[in-house]
Amino acid sequence: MAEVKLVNIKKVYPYVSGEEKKKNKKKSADEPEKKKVNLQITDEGVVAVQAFNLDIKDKEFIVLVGPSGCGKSTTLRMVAGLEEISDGELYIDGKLMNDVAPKDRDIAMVFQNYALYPHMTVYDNMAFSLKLRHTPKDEIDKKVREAAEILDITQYLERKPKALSGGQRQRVAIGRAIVRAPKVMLMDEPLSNLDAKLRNEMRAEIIKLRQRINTTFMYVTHDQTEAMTLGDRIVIMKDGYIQQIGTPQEVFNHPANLFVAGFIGMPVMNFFDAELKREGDKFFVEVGGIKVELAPEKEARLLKNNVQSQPVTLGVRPEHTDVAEQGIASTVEVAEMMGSSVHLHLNADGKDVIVIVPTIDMKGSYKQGDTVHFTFDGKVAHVFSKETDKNLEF
Amino acid sequence: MQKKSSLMKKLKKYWPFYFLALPGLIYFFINNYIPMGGLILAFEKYTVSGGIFGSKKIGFQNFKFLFSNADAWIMTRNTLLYNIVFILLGLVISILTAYFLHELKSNMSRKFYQTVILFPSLLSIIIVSYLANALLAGDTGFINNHILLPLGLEPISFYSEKKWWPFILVFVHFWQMTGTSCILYLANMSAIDPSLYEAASMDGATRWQSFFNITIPCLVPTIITLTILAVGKIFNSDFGLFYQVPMNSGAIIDVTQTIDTYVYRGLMNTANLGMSAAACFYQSVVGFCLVMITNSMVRRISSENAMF
Ligand SMILES: Nc1ncnc2c1ncn2[C@@H]1O[C@H](COP(=O)(O)OP(=O)(O)O)[C@@H](O)[C@H]1O
Ligand SMILES: [Mg+2]
Repeated sequence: MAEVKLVNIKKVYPYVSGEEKKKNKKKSADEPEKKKVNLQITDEGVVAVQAFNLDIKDKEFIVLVGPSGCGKSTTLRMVAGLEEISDGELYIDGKLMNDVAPKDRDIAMVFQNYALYPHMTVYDNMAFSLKLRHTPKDEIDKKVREAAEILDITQYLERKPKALSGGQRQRVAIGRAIVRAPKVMLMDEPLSNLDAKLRNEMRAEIIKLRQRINTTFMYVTHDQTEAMTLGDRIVIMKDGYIQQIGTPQEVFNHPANLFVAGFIGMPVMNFFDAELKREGDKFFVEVGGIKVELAPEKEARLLKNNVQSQPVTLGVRPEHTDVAEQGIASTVEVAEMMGSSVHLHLNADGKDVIVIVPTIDMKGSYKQGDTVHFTFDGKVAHVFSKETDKNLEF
Repeated sequence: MQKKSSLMKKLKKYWPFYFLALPGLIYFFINNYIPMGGLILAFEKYTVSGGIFGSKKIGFQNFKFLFSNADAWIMTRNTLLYNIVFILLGLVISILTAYFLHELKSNMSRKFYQTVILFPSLLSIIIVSYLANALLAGDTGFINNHILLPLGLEPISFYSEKKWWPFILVFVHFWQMTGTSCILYLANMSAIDPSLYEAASMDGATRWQSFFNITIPCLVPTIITLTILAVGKIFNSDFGLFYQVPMNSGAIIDVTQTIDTYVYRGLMNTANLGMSAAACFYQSVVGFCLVMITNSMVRRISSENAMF
């Protein structure tokens, strides 16, 4: 139940003594290794997060999502107070929190590896924070049992964490966080240690939980499905920078750049090298011999940005690509039957393209080697600058 | 029959491991089991001509003599009290030392302090006893010459005054042994998942609350194992500490005599092998019983922490 405001937050991990030298040596030895993550490396150290600005509204569910190593956990840990904030300001309910100890921030956190106290029973794990706060015994009991009820772990209260399965431990970890009704609830990849089925179950549980305990959530995941299903708003990060902030709908329909377009959505968006043509106030994309006019609202935005004709990267989602009589020619490589739809993996002039065809619309079936034409609508075409990778509509 | 064949199977399957264990087992047998035969001395009146196995058997005479001796009470009391202090105070000192080392953020300073604390244990006890002597000696010692005299205080004749020695011996023991005894705790602490501390700090724990609610409980298995082992040796003593450091001074023997020094002195002065063997026998039997008792007590309280 709190607003959280992050202003220009930056995190630099200083080199541990001796490490700097090692790093420099390593650079010459195996250069490609370092390229995995393009974090900025300065004299002071590794810049894990920078220029992070975010206003989280009261009771909002914010998801930080991005590939591994992009600085999600670091950001969360700075909010928690487990990591010092190198630069910038953190406000919770309008109060500056940079130098406030974690225990005084009234925040709870669920860790990826659960971090349950191994020598305490489930009950004691959940009661620990209340005991430290000198809450009366009967009140502790009431709160712990209430949380256990919500999470359906009442029957395990007397067990030690060792005797629980992964999913049960996860529930205990969540229980430990909710007993004291924190202002802000932080979760760092809480589901990533669970198997796929359990993960889906727990995802639904978290949605339910959220309705029962009305508080502000900050949730970290590398899984875009989790982000899309859970978040009120999603913060997409890469290499320590925010790429886009928006509702799941917004980031799906209006990706700010090539990275977001490729990261959000499953299967991944199809990209083509194309030409953007401006003819007066109208914009067309030319690709593979077809010419499609963009939708009027897109044209208006491009016009506002004074975009000229140029080569672009065109992005169209598989669900928005349609098989048609005429269009870009391609051959079928694989046709995956998914039930309600078929995922066609096509080869269009050496480029891999995925087209999702709803089963009801299908005329006949697809075989490997078939020639298929596909096209798309001007409403769903995204044009990205070749130079900056930015969406030209932004 | 069944058992035998499964043992053979095991031998066949794991022979490289048994092979690796062999030198240790052989050493153990030669060093720890063969000499047990010598325990027969405890029941003999040893003569050189009779040898270990041919001397006259006298039953429990040696034990009787040992316990009727006025020294028996003193040496038993000393051995027990010093060991109890070493065990209890040792727990506190080594865990706290390990904790402070563990909490040092900088690797450099941790290595530095660890080396400084560990260094005394590399010194031979003879050197330690002369270091102590340099501090304590009556006329030339540092304490008398450079602290007490300049302050206008009476010099202390340490080697003839009993009351100082319990403190001196305890101090020297911890000065020398803390480095090694805290290593195990330090290794244990480094193995504790750091996110437990983070979770505790989010739960509102201060440093000391985390120490008592996380660090200590995680160390309990180690504490129990080490304590059971120490209890088993409660009738043994560090011979060098009790014999060399007091410089074999007779005036303070009431507070420095332990079973081990008694046995040694017995051998040196009277060559009474029988009584020395009886003292050793007594040490081992009591030690064995204590280990069994402590372990079964631990098992009753928390079975997962018992040694066997
Ligand atoms: N304690 C640390 N010291 C130095 N670098 C760190 C430390 N923790 C994380 N990093 C670096 O900061 C970057 C961001 O890490 P993190 O926030 O954990 O990423 P993720 O988005 O996967 O959670 C990574 O490249 C990581 O190597
Ligand atoms: Mg992470």
